[in-house]
Amino acid sequence: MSTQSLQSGVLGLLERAEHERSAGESRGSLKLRLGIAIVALFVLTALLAPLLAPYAPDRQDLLHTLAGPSTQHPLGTDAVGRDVLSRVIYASSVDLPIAGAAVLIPAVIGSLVGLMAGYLGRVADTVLMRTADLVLAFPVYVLVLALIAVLGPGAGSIIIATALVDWVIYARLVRSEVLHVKSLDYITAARAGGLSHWRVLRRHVLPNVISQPIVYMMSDMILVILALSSLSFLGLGVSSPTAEWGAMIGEAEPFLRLRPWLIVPPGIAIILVGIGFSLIGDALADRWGR
Amino acid sequence: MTEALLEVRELSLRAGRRAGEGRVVDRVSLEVRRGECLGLVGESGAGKSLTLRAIIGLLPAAVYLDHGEVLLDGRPYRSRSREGGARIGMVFQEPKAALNPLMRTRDLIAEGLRGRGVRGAAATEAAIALMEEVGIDHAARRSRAWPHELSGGQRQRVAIAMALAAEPSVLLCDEPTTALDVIVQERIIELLDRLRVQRDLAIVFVTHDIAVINRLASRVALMYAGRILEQGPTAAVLARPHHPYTARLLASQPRIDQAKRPLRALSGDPPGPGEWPEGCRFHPRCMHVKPDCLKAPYELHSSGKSRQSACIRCSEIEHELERESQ
Amino acid sequence: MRRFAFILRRLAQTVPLLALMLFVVYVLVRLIPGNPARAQLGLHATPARVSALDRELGLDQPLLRGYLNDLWHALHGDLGTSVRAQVPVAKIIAQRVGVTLWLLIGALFASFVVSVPLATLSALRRDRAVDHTIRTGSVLGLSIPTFWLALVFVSFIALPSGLFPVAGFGHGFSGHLHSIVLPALVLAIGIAPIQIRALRVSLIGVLECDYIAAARALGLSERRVLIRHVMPNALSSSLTLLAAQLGLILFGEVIVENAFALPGVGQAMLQAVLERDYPVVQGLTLLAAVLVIATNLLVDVAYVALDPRVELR
Repeated sequence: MSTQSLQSGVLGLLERAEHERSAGESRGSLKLRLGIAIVALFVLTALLAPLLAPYAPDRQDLLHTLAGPSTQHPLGTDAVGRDVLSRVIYASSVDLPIAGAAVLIPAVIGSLVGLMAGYLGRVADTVLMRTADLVLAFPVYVLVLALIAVLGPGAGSIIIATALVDWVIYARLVRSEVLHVKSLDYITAARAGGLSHWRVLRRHVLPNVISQPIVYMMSDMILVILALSSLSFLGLGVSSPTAEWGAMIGEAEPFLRLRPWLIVPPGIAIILVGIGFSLIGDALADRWGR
Repeated sequence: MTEALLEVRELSLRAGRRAGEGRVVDRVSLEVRRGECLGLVGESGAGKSLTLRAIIGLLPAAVYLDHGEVLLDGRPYRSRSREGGARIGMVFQEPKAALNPLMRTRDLIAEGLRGRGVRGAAATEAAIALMEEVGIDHAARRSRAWPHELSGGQRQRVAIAMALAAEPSVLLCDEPTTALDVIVQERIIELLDRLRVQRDLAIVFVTHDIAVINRLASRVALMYAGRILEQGPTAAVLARPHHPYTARLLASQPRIDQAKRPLRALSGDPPGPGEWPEGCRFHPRCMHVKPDCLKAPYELHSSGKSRQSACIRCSEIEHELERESQ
Repeated sequence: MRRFAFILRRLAQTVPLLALMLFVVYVLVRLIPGNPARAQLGLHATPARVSALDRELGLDQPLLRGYLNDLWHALHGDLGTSVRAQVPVAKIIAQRVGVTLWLLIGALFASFVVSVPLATLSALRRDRAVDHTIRTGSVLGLSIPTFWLALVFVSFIALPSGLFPVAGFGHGFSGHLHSIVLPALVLAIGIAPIQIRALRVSLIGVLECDYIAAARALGLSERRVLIRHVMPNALSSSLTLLAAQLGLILFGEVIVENAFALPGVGQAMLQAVLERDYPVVQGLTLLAAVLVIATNLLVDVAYVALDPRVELR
C-alpha cells in the first residue's frame, strides 16, 4: 500500500478511536464557538454603540486633549479631546457594515457568475472566465488605489472598487465546485429524471457549492477590513470626523512621539475582529473542506 | 540449518498514542534466511504493509511500536543506521509515486550509493551498472531520463536498483507488482528471483495474490486481522492448507484448467482493527467453526514439519481443507 | 532549445496584455466625474488655463486616439509629466524605483527566512504543540494591519532605542540596509503567514509520498531527505503563491514607505492619488501592472526550467 493510503487508513482508524475523536471535535467546535463569540461581540457593539459608548464620538473637549487613561476616559482622549473608547465602539458600526457590504456584494455576484459559468458551460464559461483572468492579471489593490483616485475617497468608492475586483475569486471557487458536482452522477440522474435546470441548481448543486464561498468570505472580511482601515489611514477612505479604526490610527500618527499608546486600542480592535473571523473560517474549512 | 538473517519477534503496532489500545498488528513473528524469499499474503487491511514498515522503521505518523523487536543477524536492528554490514532495503507498490519526479534516474540511484561513500562519476558508472543488472536496456541513455519519461515496469526496475544500490542483505517488497500489467509483473518477479540468487538476498514479498507467491517464495505466511494464521513451505501450504482461511483463499482463485468451475468468493469482509472478534478472528466467516473457536487463543502452534497454524481444528479438518482448496 | 522558444513566446504574449492594461488605466482616469484639469487648478482657474491643461493632459481628445497616443508614448518610455512637479513620470520612477526594490527584496528575503523554517517545523511536528503554536501565530499575523504594525515598530522600537532610522533611505550600502530593516520586517510579517500556511500544506503532502519513504529507506540522513528530496517538491507551490500575493505586497509597500518616509515609488503613488495627479497615477499603476506580469512570467519560466514534467504549450 502506498504511504498515503496507509496514512489515511491509519488516520481513519484514529478517528474511530473515541478519545481522539472527542479531542479533535471539541477543538474544532471550540474554535468555531470562540470565533462566533468574538464576531458577535463586535456586531453587538456596532448595533448598540449609542448605548454602550460613554460619550458621543465627535464630542470634543479641547481642555483634555491627548489625555492618558483615567476614570472618565478609560482609554484616554485623542488630539481634540474625543474619548477613545467611545470612538472605538462607534467605529465598529462604521467598519463592520462597510466591510460586510464590500464582501457580500462581490460574493453574491461572483457566485452567481461562477454558477452560470460552471453550469451552462461552453461559451458562457469561456467568456466569463477570460474576463476573470483579465481582472486577476491586475495588481488588485493598486487598482483599488487608482479607482479611488478616480472616484474620490469614501466608503462608496471602496465598496465599488472591491466589488469590481473581488467577485473573480468567488466566481472561480463556485465554478470549480459546480464542475466537480456536475461530474457526479446524481446530477445527470436528476436531469435525466426531467427536472428543470433551475430545480437541479437549487436543490442539488447549490447546497454543495455554497460551502466554499462562505469559508472564503471569512478570510475576505479580514482582507476588506484591513484594506478599509488602511485606506482610511492613508486618508483615502472614510472621511475625517467619522470614527473609523484606521482613520483613528491615522489621526494619532502625528503624535507618535508624544502619545504612542494612542494607536493601540483601534489596532487591537482590528486584530481582534480579524482573529474572530479567522477562527470561524478555519473551523468551517475543517468541517466542510473536501 | 542456516540461521535466520532477519527475525521479527512478537511485533505489535498500535494506532494512537496511548499504550495498549488500538492494535493494528498483533504479535507477528517472522523469520527469513539468506537467499530465501518469504511471501506474506493477506487481504487489504490485514496489516502486511505496516509490518514491513515497522521492520524498516518507516511507520506512518500516529502508528507506534507497542511491543516486539526486529533482529538482523542476531542484533537488534536500529532502523536505517549506518552500522556496517547487513542492511534492509524496500521497494514500494506504486511505481508512479516511488520515484522523486524532480530527479534523474541516475541521481536517484546515486542516492542509494551515498551511504557507501560512492559519489560523482563513480556513482554514475555504478548507477548504470545497476540499471543493467535490473534489466533496463540502453542503460546509459536511460540513466539521464526523468521518472515521468519511463514506463511503469521501468520505473519499478529503477526503484529496485535504488534499493540495491545501498547493498542491502534484506529486501522488503510491498506489493511491487500489483500496479503493473501481467506480462510486466512476470518480468519483475523473474528479476527479483534472479537477484535473490545472485546476491543471496533475503526477500519478504507482500502481496494479496497467491499465484505470485507460488512463483517466487519458498515459504509463505498468511496474515489476517493483524496476526499470522499459517506459515510454512509454499508448496506444502498451497497443496494441503492447515487453515480454513488459506483454503478459502485458494478456492477463490480462478483456475484456468477448471474453466467451468464457478468462482467461490469468500463472503464478507475481514474485520478491521478495533473490530477483531474474541477468540479466532476468522471464526465469523469460517465454515468449520465450533463453539471452542470463539474462545480459542488464536496462537500459532506447530502443525507439521516446519509448518505452523493458528487453527485449533487443523488436524481434524485437514482433508476437508485439502479438498476445498482444489 | 524548445524551452527557449517557449520563453520568447510567453514574452511576446505579455505585450498585448500590457497594452490592454494601459487601456484600462487610461479609461479609469477618464471616468472621473467633472473636469480633472479644473480639479487640479482649483476653482479660480480661468477657462483658458483649464483648456490649456486639458490639452496638455490629452483630455480633449477622443478616447481611442488619446489612448493610442499614450500607448505610443509609453512604448517610447514617455509616460507623461507630473502635473504637480512638472517632472516626467519616467524620471520619477527612475529616481524612486531603486528604494522600492530594495524594500521589496528585503521583505521577500525576510519572509522566506522566517516562513520556510517555521512551515517545516510545523509540518514535521504535525498536530503537536509546536504546530499549533505556529498556526495560531500565523492567524494572528494575518489579522495585524500593516500600517499599524509599522507605527508600532516606529514608536516602540525605532524611537525609543534610536537604533534604526525612522525616515529616509540613508547613504551608501550599509545606510540603505539599515534603513530598510524595520520596514522590511513589517512587510515580511504581513507576507509570511500565508506563505507558512501554504508551505505547510505542501510539505505535509510531499512528506506522505512514497518517494520520500523510499529515500528514507536508503538510510539517508533526515537532513538530506528534507533538503534534497522534500524541499524542491514542496517549494514550487510557494513560488506561485508569491506571484499571486504580489498585489497585496505592493499595497503594503505603499503603506510602509509612507510610515517610514522612504522615498520610493509607493510614496509617490500615495501623493499622486491624494493630489489627483493623474499622469503619475496612470504611470505608476502601469508600473505595478508591469511588475506583476513580469513576476508571473518569471515564475512560469522558473517552472519550465526547474520542473521536468511541465509541458510546453
